[in-house]
Amino acid sequence: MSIVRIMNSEKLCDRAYFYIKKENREVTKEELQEACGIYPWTLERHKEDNKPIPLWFGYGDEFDYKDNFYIIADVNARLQFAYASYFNDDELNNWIKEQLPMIEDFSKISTYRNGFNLREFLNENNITVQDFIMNDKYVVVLDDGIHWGKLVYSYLVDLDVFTEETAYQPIDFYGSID
Amino acid sequence: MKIQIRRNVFETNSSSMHSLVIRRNDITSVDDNNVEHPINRILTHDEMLTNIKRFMDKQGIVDFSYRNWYFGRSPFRIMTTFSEKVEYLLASYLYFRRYNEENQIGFDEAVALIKKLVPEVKDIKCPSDIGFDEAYYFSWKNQYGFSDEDFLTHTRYIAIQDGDEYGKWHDVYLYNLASEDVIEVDSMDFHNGEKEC
Repeated sequence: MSIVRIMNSEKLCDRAYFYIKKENREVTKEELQEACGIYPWTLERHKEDNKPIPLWFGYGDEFDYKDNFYIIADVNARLQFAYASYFNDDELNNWIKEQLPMIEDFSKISTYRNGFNLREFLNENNITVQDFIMNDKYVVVLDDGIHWGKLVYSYLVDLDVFTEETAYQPIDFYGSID
Repeated sequence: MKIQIRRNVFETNSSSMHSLVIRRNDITSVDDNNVEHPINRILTHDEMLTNIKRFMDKQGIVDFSYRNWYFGRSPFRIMTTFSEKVEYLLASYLYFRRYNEENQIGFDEAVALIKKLVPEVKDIKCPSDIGFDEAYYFSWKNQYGFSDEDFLTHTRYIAIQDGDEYGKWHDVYLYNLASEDVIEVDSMDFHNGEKEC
């Protein structure tokens, strides 16, 4: 078995990369609901307490790529990444309200802003933020070291899962930082 | 029933997750000129010397004394190079020796091996602080039957440091990004299904 690897090594470290998987998998509304932290017991508790249901991601990852390595590849991570990039945006809030009408309180979202201009990047590539969040084909790798490069150059990552255009020339959107 | 909760204590059972990855031997890569090369090979003396030289002075003293030899849960490390594996190996032996007074075998032999592989190395300075959560290296050796020389010189052996609260290596499998055709062994066994972490 042989593997073809044609990549520019400078493209694989200290950067943020955007990949598109060949497999198109749309996320269900239930998965989105779980990504927003809404479970039956959450609904019950808020009903008992008579409090509006918040959108809240806890105090988890804020995707500060410095000194770190993230593979953002599920709806939870993409949603948080979008919020931290769009910075508690009305368009995003309204879309979440449409999808999950039970969410009424948007005041608990972290005010952290990760500095990636995802909006501009997605616009340039004709991808809506809703599609970005709701499709598992979109993968973002944030790497302030050489982790991703080492994984790829050690042949431990299967680049065949990505489309040709992104696998062999992953889109670097570090340059779009605000 | 009375439930007692200790105040101001947040406990986790997080632990390190180090993986030994062994790549299959029959995989080749194709270069720009369409020539096939095996992805696994044994490092040459020059490659090992070049790699370890940045830690070495003119007298041949390799100085690791300022390096972080706590091999715990973070940072995420992928140890592929000669010097990275030398550090992991020596730290494993030193840590083992500290807690096994009856059995002091290993460290001196490992240093001798490095000097044999790269005769320009005259001595090695190690950090005083060394830490591991578990002695992974020795269980890998027992389970997969390789020698220290194999580990250091053969590119098919790759050690990965991760923690179960981060799970970076686990994510590679979780999101179907692992080259399962290339990986013969992953000591964490993620490739045979999702491991709880």
